[in-house]
Formats: sequence, C-alpha cells, structure tokens
Amino acid sequence: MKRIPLLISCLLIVLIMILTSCVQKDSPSTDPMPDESPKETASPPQTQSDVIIRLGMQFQEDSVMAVYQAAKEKFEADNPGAVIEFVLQERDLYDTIGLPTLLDGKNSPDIYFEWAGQRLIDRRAEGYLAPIPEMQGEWKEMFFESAFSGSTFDGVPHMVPQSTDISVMIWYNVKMFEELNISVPATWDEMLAACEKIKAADKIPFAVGNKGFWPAGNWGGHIISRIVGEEAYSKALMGESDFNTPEFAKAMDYLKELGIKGYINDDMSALTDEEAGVLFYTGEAAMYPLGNWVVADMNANAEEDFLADYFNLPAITGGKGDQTSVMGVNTGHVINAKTQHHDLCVAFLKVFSSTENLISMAQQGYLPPAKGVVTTENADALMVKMMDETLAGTGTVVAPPDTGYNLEIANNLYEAIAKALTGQYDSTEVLASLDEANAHLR
Amino acid sequence: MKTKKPLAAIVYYLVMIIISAYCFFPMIWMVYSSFKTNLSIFKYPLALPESVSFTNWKEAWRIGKISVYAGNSLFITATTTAALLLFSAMAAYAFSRISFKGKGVLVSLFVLGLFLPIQSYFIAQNAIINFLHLGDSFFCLILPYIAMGVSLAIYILREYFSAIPTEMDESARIDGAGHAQIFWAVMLPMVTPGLATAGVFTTLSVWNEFLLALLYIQNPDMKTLTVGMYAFSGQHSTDYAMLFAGLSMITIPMILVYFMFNKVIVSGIIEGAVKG
Amino acid sequence: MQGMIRTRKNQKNELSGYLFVAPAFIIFLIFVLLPVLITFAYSFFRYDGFNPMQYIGFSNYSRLYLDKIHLQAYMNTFIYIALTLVLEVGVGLTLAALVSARFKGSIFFRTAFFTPVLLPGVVVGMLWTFVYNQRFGLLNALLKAIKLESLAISWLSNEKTALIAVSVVSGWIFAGYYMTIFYAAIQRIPKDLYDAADIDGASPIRQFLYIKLPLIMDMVVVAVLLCVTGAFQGFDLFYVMTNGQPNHKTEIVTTWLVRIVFNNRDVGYGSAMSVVLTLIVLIMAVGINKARRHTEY
Repeated sequence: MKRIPLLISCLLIVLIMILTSCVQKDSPSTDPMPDESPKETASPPQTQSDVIIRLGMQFQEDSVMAVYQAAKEKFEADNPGAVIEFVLQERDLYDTIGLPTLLDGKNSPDIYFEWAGQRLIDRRAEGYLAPIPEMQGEWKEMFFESAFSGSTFDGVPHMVPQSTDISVMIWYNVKMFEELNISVPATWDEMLAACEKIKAADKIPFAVGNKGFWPAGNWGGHIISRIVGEEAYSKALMGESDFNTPEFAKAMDYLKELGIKGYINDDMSALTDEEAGVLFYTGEAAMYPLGNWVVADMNANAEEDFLADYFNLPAITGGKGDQTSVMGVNTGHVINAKTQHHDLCVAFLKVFSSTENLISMAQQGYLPPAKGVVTTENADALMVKMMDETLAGTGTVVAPPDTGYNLEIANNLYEAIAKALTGQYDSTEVLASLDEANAHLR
Repeated sequence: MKTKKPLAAIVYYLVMIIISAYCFFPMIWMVYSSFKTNLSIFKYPLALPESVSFTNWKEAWRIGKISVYAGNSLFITATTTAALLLFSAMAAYAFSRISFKGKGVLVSLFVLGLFLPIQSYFIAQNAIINFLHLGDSFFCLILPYIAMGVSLAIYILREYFSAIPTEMDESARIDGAGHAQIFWAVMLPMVTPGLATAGVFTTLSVWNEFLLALLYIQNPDMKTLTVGMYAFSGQHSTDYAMLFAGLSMITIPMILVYFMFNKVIVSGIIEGAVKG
Repeated sequence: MQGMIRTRKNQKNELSGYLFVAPAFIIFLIFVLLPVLITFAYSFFRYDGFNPMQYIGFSNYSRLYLDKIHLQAYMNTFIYIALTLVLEVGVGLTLAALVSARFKGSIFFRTAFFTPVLLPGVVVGMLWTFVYNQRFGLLNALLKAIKLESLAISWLSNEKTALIAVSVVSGWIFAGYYMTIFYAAIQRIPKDLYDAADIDGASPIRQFLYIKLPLIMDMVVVAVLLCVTGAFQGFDLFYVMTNGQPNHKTEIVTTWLVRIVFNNRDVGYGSAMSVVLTLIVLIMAVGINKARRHTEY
C-alpha cells in the first residue's frame, strides 16, 4: 500500500517540474540560437515590464510586411512599454489548421487576421472573438458601410476592416491576348472560344495551382453560384439542401468541360497557387483565375515588362445568378476575447487603419474599403478599376465557400470541384458523393 | 571465382554503379541545381551550372532561417536523447536488477508502448499539452519524444544489463554501494554499446520527426528543421534555386556525418528497428 | 530482529525500484498511455476540441463504414503496402544478394545504398517532388534526353501514377535499409555451407536462392511485417508530396486522420479512426512477435 502515495508524490514532483520549467520557458528568447532575421521579431531591447501584443497573420511579401512594420513602429513610439510581435504562418496552414492551433496554444495571439462570415461566427462560438465597441463615430465612418458585413454581431463591429478581397477574377496576359487577337470575353462562350485559340497557339489557357484546393475551389464556386443562383449556392453550403440537383449537375458540367477540353494545366493538383503564377508570368499560360492579391505577387515575381489586366467572370447565358456578381470577402483584424490588453489592441488597430496606412496597403494590392483610399492618386490603376468598376458595378458580392459557410462542406465542395475539373467524372456521381460526405453534418 | 570470370565482374560492377547512381543522382542534381538560377532550372533542368556561386545558399540560409531551425532541432534532439537515455537506463537497470511489486505490470506496459503507433495517441496528446500549457515551448516536443522512445530504449538496454554477470554488482554491494552508485559507477559504463544503439536510433528519429513538430509548434522561431524547411517551401514555392540550396544544406551535413560514423549509425538503426 | 532488517531492506529496495522507474514511467504515462485512453474515450463523443462533448455512443464508428474516403484511404494503404513490399523488401533482398556476392567493394556499395535511410522524410519528399515536377523535374528531363517525351507526364497529379510515384520514393529510401538487415543475416550463415556449394559448382544465383535465402527466411518474415506496420504509419512523404491529391488517390489513413482532426476539428470521429487503426497495427505487431518466435532457432 505504501507505494501508492509514493507514486503520487513522484507524479506531483514531476508535474511541478514540468509546470515550473514551462513557466520559465515562457518567452521564446530561450531559443538556443538568436533570431537572425530582423524583420519578424526584432524589437527594441525589451525590459521585463514590456507588454507583448502578438499579431497572428499569414506570411506576406516583404513589401507588405514593411507596412505592418511601419504601423508597429508608430504604435510602439506612441505606447512606450508595449511591443508588437508578428506571429507568421504560411498561408495554406493559417487558413486551415494553423490559426485554430495558434489560438489554442500558449502564445495565443492578441490580434489576428480573419475573413468575415462563417469563420468569425466560429471564432465567436469558440470564445476567441471580442466585440470592438470602440469602433464607432469617426473611426467607423471612415469605412464604407459594406465593410462591416459579415463581421457585425448584435449590432457591434467585431473586426477592423483591412481589405475587401475579390477572391476570383480572371487575370490575363495582355500581350498574348493582342498577339492572338483575342478581345476580353463578355460571355462564357466567348471565353471558351478564346481558350480554343490559346490552346491552338500551344499555350495553356488557364494556369491553376490547386494543391491547397481553394484556388480552383473559389473559382469553381463562383461559376457554380452564377449558374445555380446565389440562394441555392448558399443554402447548399449551409447544409440546408442537397448538392445533387439538376442545376448543380449543370454547373458541374461547365467545370467538367474545361477539364475535357484541356484548358487547364494538367499538373493542377501538384502546384501551389504561386507556382501556377509562374506559368502565367512566364507566358506559358494566358489566364490566371485568382484574387486581387495577384497584384502584389506580380510586382514581386513577374518581369518588369509583363503586362496583365483582368476581367470578372463572364456572363453565363441561362444562369440563375446575378451575372455581374463578384466573389469577394471582407478581411481584417480581430481582437482575441482572451487578451489581457484589449485597449492596446484597439490602439494598434487604430494606428493600422489610419488613412495613411490604408493607402500604403492599397499600394500593395489590397482594397481597403475606406473612403478616399483607393484613388488614382495613391493606387495602381488596376486597383482603382477593381474598386470603381468591379465592386461598384455589381449588386451582388458572393462569399467564397471557405470563408462564408461551413468549412467542412466547403472543403468537400472544393474536392468535388477539383474532381469535376479533371473532366473524368460524371457530374451526378460527383455530387452524390459530395452529399454523402456532408451527410453526417445534418 | 574472383579471377575466373572477368565478364561477370564487369556486368556486376556496371549494375552496382547504375544502382548507386539511382541512389545518388537525385541528390547530386539537387546540389548542382542549387547553384543555378530559377530560369536555367526551368529551361535546362539537366544542365550543370555555369558558375558556382553561393548566392542561393546565402539567401536560403538567411530567408529560410536554417541556422535558427537547425539550432532548435539540435537543442531538442540533444535534450531528448540525453534525458531519454538516462531515464531508460535507470528503468532498465531497475527492471533487470531490483525486484519490486508491480514490476511485471510496468514491464508489460512499456512493451505495449513498443507497438502503439503514433496515431493512437497524438490526438489526445495534443489536448494534454494544451492542458499543461506546454504549447510553443520545446517541452511540447521533448516530453512526447521521450515518452515515445522510452519503450524501445528500455527494451534494448534491459538486454544489455541482463547480460552483465550479477557478480559485478554483488561485489559492489558487499563494498557497501547503494543502487544509485552501482548504477552510475559500475553498470552504466558497461552498457555503452547499448546506449550507443539507443542513442543513434533516438537521435535520428527525433531529428527527422515531422508530424508532432508540425502540429505542436506554431511559433515560427521555434520550428524544427523539418517543419521549418517545409514552411520555407510553402512560402517560397516558386524560388526553386533557393529551395534546392536549402535542401542541400540540410542533406550534405547529414551524409558527411553518416560517412564518418557509418558503422555505429547503421547498427543503431538496424538494431533499433529489428528489436522494435 | 533478523526478519525486521530484511523487510526494511526489502522496502528500501522496492523504493529504489520505483524511483528508478519513475521518471521514464511518469512521462510515458502522461504522454502515451493516458492519451491512448483519452482517445478511446473521445471516440464515443461528438467533440470539436472546444465546445462541450456530447455522448453519441457508437455513431462515430458506424460513420467509419460510410465514409468512402476513409475506406479509400485503407484501400490506398493496402496498395501502398503491396508496392512497398516489392520496392522495399523485394528490392532490398535483391540488393542483399548483390552485395553479398563475393566481389570486392561491397562495403562501398552497402554504405551508398543505405544513405537515403537517414534523411528526413520531409526533405526526401521535397526533393522528389522536384524530381517528379512536370516542367523541370529530373525524371522528365531524363525522359526527354532519351527522346521519350511522350512519357513525360505530371507524375504526382496523374491519378494513375501518383500513388506509384510516392511508393517509388518509399522504395528509394528503404530498399537499402532492408538490404542491410538481410546482409547482416547472410553474414551469420556458417561459411562451410558455401564451400560445399562452391565445390558442387553451383552458380551464385543458385547459391543465393537455395542456400542463403532459406537460411535468412526468419529475417524476411520480420522485414515483411516491419514493412507492413511501417506502411500503415506512413505520413511524411504523403503529406509533403501530395497530401491526398489527386482526388484522394494518395489519401492514406494518417493524412485523412490529420485532416479530420485538425482541419475539420472533428476530434470524436478522428479518435474513432485512430482506435481502429491502432487495433489493426497492434494485431499486426502481435503477428510480428508470433512469427519471429516461430522462426527463431
């Protein structure tokens, strides 16, 4: 009998050892090797009393990080004793398992980047989303009203807007279009005709890098919403109705046709979205269906003389949806409800969303939904076009499956889209197995 | 036989050289591609570099933070291996030399640990790590790695301890030595080959581990070499030359170490695996 | 008096026994044994990792049989096992035959063939992703160099080749490993057995097949079982190279499990998957031991 208390005390001793050691380990400065890159965590010499505000986000191009860095420096000058630390994750990870594990972990970020819509509803249910009642008056009025859709709960904003991302637009190689005598297609059929010309010239019509599933998923989702209509699209994605309907089957057939005709690079599923970008920038592919952030990527990776423009997904005759619809989503920064430093978070976000700072973001290819930001004086002509033509020209903004709706259904839909795009599967069968995969969510 | 058939020898060596090429050519290609530009990798994948410049290597070293990740991996591997060897040797000593109640149960639990796949516990292990607030410290890898490795190390070391004749420690006991002294001064030095086997096996498994390191470490500055390299490839998926440089930087030192200590390493891996 | 001293000594002895085992056991208990039990418990609940757990009996288990991807993951795993048996154990055996043929320089080739074993799976996976790349990959470049352009495809995104392509990489890593195991076993065969064969004039191939192979059969059995259990636990290569793409043709149990638990946050269902996988691996592991005991002589 004596060994039981002994075992328990041993257990306790080890537990205490573990706990104390991890308390000592609290700061990552116990790293055996000093951090060599000054960009990410460098900060002025810290004193013990420094408050660290962690900002969780995806990796960004250096030029975008410079904007964050400028805001950080301004904030730190205004708030002595507070330090911003960027916690960066690669994009596909952050979108999926990365952010939840980050929030769950010990160094949970105080502020983090998010997409409006279902993701925020989930964060709120998990207890990681704080209301931002400070967001009112002048601060709120600098943004367009639409900037808060998908992030307002009980009438209170929960996110500081950063950009209204257009998730799907069709980028095209201007010179190649000229050489092949292709004009910007206004309808789906014109687009297919263009593809045929491009293919005849031995080029790839669409460069798609679908390793992460969302690039073709967003694009396919947009096409589907145009054909089945926004309501049917959103009902199915919320799990309220089946996918296996004649309408969806028709939409899937449109995707299947792209696959059968060989309009997409055949290593689609092996490439990342950036790798597909290389095909586009090097002139191997004519079109590149992806979001507005391509501007930043293009500035960093394409040759100077590379000329690209974009068009919105062309109208699909007979489609039930709004044929001018844009697939887009509000993005921004939210405050973790578990933070100890709500006021400092608000202070930083105020700095970050200053008009001056938002203009810098616009110069990096973002579309801040704020007044007087994306204008010809301070932004790329393409950005102004997105703001004034594409976003202003539509009455319908459709949320991408993975940000607006149930994430698991969205992922299942993405897989169905990837399958359809191979051109090798029967559309009805694809949809039937999609419903099957969603069945347990009912 | 050696002189009888020169033709057979020629065929034999030809076959062996072809197989060696199959083993090494991907790595050789990786190393020389790391000196090329992205454009020439794309256009002339097989061509040798025009000149040898370490620009890509420097870039990979800096941007890929390989020094940071290698430092983290080194720290985690060294700590895990040291602690695991000590704890396993202690347990193996007790199992082979001390009789106490419940020993049989404990031994069979450790034997069970030999067979449990990582998939059987990593879901809840994650929850326990969060519960103990170990997330994003090196302990959230070191402790699970120890837990996963003790079974095998105890198993190997127990055989070595049991092979030592009991007269050795009997005589020490008559001289008045306690278990701690006997273990440390008499027995431990005699199982060095066992420690080497278990040590090599642990070091390599920890150094190469990916799944847990991917799931448990979020802080970018605390990533291990495998996860860091993976993250690096995700961020710079189009910078092929730099990625080749990064991969070369990880691979070449490992191969050099292997060539230097090849006997110990091979026997460590094989013995560890066949026992397990 | 005498008796009392003995008991006290025994107690002290017992105490040191526990103290010696304690550090290893406590860590093992907290980070392996408890999690196994908790995972088993999770498998009866609907649980997303945050919100309260909800008891649902065996629902997670019955869902396993309806989840087509889960079944396909097992199917893929079986194909992968079959391929690796050939590419790892079969090739390993052939290599062992080659390096144990009495030619000079075997140590050089043994060292060379073993090299890939020690590289991290992630690094190997990334390297071979490049080797298989459609545009600048080594494989397609070689095919083009020998005028076989028509065969140059995108190996990892083609539904017919993806799983085979990953298995080949697995073979590239582990063939040398099994070779080393078999070589060690061959070295233990008494020399006089070959001398007799040499006198009879048996060819090296016949010698291998009729003398060496039967004598190392126990190791072949161990290797087959190591290969099978190892394949069940594979993850790194698949995650890095394809992560289930294209269309789940390379989805194996662990990649799917990670997706269910960490992407979909379906901890309860994932736990049921893990319980089933554990049982399968345990049954096989018991098989290993039985087989080994059987062949020991």
